[in-house]
Amino acid sequence: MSPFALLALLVCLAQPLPEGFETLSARAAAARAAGRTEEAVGAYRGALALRADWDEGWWYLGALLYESKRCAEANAAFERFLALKPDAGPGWVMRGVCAFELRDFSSAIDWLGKGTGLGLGGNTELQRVARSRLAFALVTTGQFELAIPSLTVLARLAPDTPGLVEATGLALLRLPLLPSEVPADRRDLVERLGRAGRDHLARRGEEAARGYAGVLAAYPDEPWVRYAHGVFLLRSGDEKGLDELRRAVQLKPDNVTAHLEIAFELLTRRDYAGARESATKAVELAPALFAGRNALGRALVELGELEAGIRELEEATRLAPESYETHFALARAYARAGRDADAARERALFTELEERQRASPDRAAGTEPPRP
Amino acid sequence: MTVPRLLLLAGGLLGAVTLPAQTAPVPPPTYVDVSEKAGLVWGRGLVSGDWNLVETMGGGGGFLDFDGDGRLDVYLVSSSLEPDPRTGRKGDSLFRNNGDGTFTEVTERAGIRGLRRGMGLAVGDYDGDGRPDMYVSAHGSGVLYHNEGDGTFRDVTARSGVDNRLWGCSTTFLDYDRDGRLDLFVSNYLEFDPTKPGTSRYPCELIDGYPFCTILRFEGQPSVLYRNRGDGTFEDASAKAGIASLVGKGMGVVAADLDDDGWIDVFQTNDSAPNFLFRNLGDGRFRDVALEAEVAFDPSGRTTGAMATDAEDVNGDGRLDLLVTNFNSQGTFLHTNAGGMRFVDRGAIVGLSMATFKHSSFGARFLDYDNDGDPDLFIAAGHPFAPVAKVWPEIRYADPPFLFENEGGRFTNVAADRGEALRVSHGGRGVAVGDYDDDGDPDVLLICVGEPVRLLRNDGGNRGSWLGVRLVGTRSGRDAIGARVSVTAGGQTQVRARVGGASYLTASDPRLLFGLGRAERVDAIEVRWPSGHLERFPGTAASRYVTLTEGTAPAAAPAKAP
Repeated sequence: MSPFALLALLVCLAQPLPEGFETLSARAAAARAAGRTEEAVGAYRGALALRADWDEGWWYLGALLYESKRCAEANAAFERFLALKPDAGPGWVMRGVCAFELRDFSSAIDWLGKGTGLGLGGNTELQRVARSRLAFALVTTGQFELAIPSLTVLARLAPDTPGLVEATGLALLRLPLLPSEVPADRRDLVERLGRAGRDHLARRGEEAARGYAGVLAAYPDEPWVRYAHGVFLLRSGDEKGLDELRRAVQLKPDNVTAHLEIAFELLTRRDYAGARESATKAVELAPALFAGRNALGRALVELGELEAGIRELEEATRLAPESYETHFALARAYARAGRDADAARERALFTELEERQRASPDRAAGTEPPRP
Repeated sequence: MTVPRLLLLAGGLLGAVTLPAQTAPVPPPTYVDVSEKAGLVWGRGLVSGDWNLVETMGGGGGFLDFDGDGRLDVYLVSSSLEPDPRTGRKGDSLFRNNGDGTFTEVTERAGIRGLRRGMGLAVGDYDGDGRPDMYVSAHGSGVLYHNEGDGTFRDVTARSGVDNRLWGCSTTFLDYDRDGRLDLFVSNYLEFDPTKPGTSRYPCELIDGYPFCTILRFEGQPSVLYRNRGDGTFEDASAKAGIASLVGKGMGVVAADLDDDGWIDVFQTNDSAPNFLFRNLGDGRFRDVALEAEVAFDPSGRTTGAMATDAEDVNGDGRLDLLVTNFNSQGTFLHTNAGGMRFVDRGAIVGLSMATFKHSSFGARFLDYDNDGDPDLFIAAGHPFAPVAKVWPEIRYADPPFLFENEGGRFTNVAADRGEALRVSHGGRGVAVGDYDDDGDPDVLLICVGEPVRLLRNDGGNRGSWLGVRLVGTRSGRDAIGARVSVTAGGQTQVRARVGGASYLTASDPRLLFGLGRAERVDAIEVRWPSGHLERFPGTAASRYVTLTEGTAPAAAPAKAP
């Protein structure tokens, strides 16, 4: 060996060897387990630089960054993880949670919904986190009815989840806010109604009845309190619920939701004339809302006004092509009109959508979506 | 409608009407709980814990004349392995009718052995030896009992090939292929076995130790059709018949020719899953037509907690209508048959829907309790989940049964005025109807959970005339399940079918009881047998039982083309 070659070898040996993937990943895991977050983040980044297809690495890196409240970076890590494991429900949930923290509520709703739909492998804590963030995001963006299934799951799974009472109260009062944003002058109402509503969703009927009695005594003219109480009574088998809903409409005549609730309750009770009256008001107030068209169309069909009913139901399916119940109603209407081919087509659509709905996590969890 | 009510109505319409002396008000029939007096002492408590779900869905049994003495005996199915707190006995029980209003428990003597979580009872003479055999469905493994003819039964389950390991629920014998032999249809409920690792905490909330379940969260099970080979064995024909791939959550079953094509169809109610209407295609196959027939879902397109069913010509148009009882807040459906396998729910119009709306209804059967010539309706009520009032304060776990009187097509619940026995709340489940005292009016066996069975004797129903018809098939199976009988009396023709199954988990009197009002004579009887053979039997005096044997009418009409 020449002196130069020997020197080069010695220089080389004197320098530390670059860590390989195995070493880095082991160091990352050890640091993570020991709570040395920064060291773990560095090691994971190093290992992932060597092996970008290491899905577990992206997962832990994202989790560590999320715990360090570095949500934008965490989001990027989960995005890489999901590129490798697109069917991993927990990954979508964590992306959604990051988006929520970044107040990107639209993305949060999409990703949390996708994650819970794919399943969380029985991880109840992740389920709780996902459902709470999804519910809060839906409430703060004004999608109150869509928040109910997640609030229901939470109320049954983890009734003491922080923010659940407030979020339920906000949803029932139709206030598009986060639990942390409840104004001081509404806090008492939000919390009292939220507690009663939470107990209702949690199937604690006796507690809910006491809670509603209390909030009604304090806020007798609050239309949304009347509405929530009315719905609670109807779900509890108490016919006085209809009176409460009518009181809610008196207090707030443009309350589309209350008109709709009355219409669907009367459809259930086969009071088709009454249902038509309430559904007509709902359609007048919100012509682009498919639910009103659905209720009105069904009432008209049952009252023998087939053509008018079919028109309403066709408009409802145009507004909400994914509504299986509307396709069902339209199929029935076509069948009565002797339009067998149209009826068969709508039945096929109904079957496909209904089976999908039956397999959905909310349905499987025993929470019904808002009707129709 | 009772006679006095009819007269009062006429009086109201016509103004002052002078009633003849003999039409002085006659008290309506009443029901009397004679269980204790009759020696029918039987009932289990609900045992909290993992098996509670099976126990709370139980409540099967019914009537059969096992010893051929012409009197209806009683079989009761235990869904619990626990002993009866009053008698100490475990398992099912068979009570022999002594003919004097009392019963004697003869279970062991009859060879009924084995302990299982039983559910329902079906009765039929599957081997055509003239003696009624029994199938008892169960969670895990049902049992086929062969009637040996000497007062005993033999468990022939293994030998016969009827080996349903799923959660069997309501069951019926029927001759679906019209070969003259009774086949067997078993509706299966859902996947549930707390002994399997990881499943002991099933998807129910436990409230005070009792489950409150969301049935949607359970996986359903397919039902099973066993074809009778005629040599004492059965083959599983579910796949060939096209029903094996259809997963439901079977509760009630009724077998009847619903489209009047001569082939017996099967309607199965499902709990939180679309109901099935298996139309018999006549070639060994069935097709589920429930969706297009509009009996699969409620009018919103949602599944219901459907429980019991029955088939009866309620509106007198000659077609069989379908009854469905439901979970609370869903109301009872009366799907009237519009022909062509299309049905229209008229439950609300006839007064059934709202009257039952707050209640969970289970077993149900049509019966003409006052023998006035139109079908009335008995429904057992009671919520499946004991802690329901804690969840929904207005809903009760135990409810009095309903007795709906048919008043010109509208049904009115008259239970509170038809005897103290109908004012008592129960966790009602199975309802079997039978004239156990052979006095010409329908008695009711009400089987409850967590409490004693109730034998409700009809007192006074036979003040109206009646005709009891016992059918004996020859070319058809002996039980003549699927036969249709028309009775003409007093200018009115009634059509009734000898249906298979019906109600929830129970077997009713195989005889058909027709109320004839004031008619003293039956003018004509016509039977369309399951074989397709149509026979006209001569008239007879009213208020008696007659036995009609296929092929024995003086002048047989030509067979109706299916």
